[in-house]
Amino acid sequence: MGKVVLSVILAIIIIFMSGCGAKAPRPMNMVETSIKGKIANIAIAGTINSDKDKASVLQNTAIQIKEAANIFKENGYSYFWISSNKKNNGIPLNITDMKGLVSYCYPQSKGFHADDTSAGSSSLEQKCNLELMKNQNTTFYELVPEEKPLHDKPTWSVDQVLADEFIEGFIKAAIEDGKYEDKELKFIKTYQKY
Amino acid sequence: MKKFLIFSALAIAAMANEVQVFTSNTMRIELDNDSKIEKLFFGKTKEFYEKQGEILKDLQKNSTSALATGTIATLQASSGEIAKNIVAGGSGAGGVDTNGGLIAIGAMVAIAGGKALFDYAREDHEYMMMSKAINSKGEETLLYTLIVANNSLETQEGEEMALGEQKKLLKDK
Repeated sequence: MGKVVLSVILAIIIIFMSGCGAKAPRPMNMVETSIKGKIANIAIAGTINSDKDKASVLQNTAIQIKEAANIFKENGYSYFWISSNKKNNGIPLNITDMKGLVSYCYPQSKGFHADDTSAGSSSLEQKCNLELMKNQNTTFYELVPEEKPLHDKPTWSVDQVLADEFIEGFIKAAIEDGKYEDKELKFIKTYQKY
Repeated sequence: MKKFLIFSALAIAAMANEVQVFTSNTMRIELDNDSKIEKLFFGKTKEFYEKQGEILKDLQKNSTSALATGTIATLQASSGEIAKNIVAGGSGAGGVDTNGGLIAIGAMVAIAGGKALFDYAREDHEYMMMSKAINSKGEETLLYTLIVANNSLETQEGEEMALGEQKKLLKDK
């Protein structure tokens, strides 16, 4: 009898311990590619249609761009550009901040919350196919770090992204909307430093 | 009658030509009133993306300054790893499929094919102006202006609008 009780107690301990080392789930995947020890790019992938992750595409995009900027800063990069295939409705090369991304991709968006995306009054169309992230596990775009600005290609500034109140607005709204579970919330809070 | 008037007013408002303009300065240099702006391209964005490599190669060949020796990332990327990773074709996807494989891509193409026909009928009109700017210190940068409009623009109208936006970057010394 004693052995049975001990086994049950051990089993309970193992079940509880098994979750301790697990990483908090991310809203979307980020895949870092390094070449010779240096980050070559960070790919942002989906899907965001799981039951756990119901934050809006824009909230997810803001979270991922900010986290990527943090990683670039830690690795000594000050700029990055987004590689997406504009020929096929990606983000145009001269969109270099979140405000521009939202006005271009979601001209009808009127706020930071998940329900605000298509409630505005603009007569311009939604673009960029960000919605494709909802459908399948697709690498949507890649963020490529640079130490200096490039002559021919507009770049995003890492420092500007980290100080961007517009990006903060989306992250705050994602938390307020209650779209994240506790573990996910902790992940955001960790780097968000709220 | 009142309802008809309200409907008409709403319809006219919906038809109004809403325009968005996005401008960027690649080298982030300060441009003063003595800066010179030279137009390199103005046209539909589709045409711009087709000619971009060619324009940059010409620019590199003909420039005597930093643009000739600087990193031309666009040209590097066109033959590099990133370009290889991007799904080509009419699917509208901006990336590589990492899990679903060909079936998923096929499904996307099929869906996007139908969607493309629908989008074509209602899509916005996009124009790009690319210019070279030199400030009074001799520093060079490229300026890109993207115009998004509900209705099509005459070339002259679009050029004037884009140049006007680029001139807004010039600041008094």
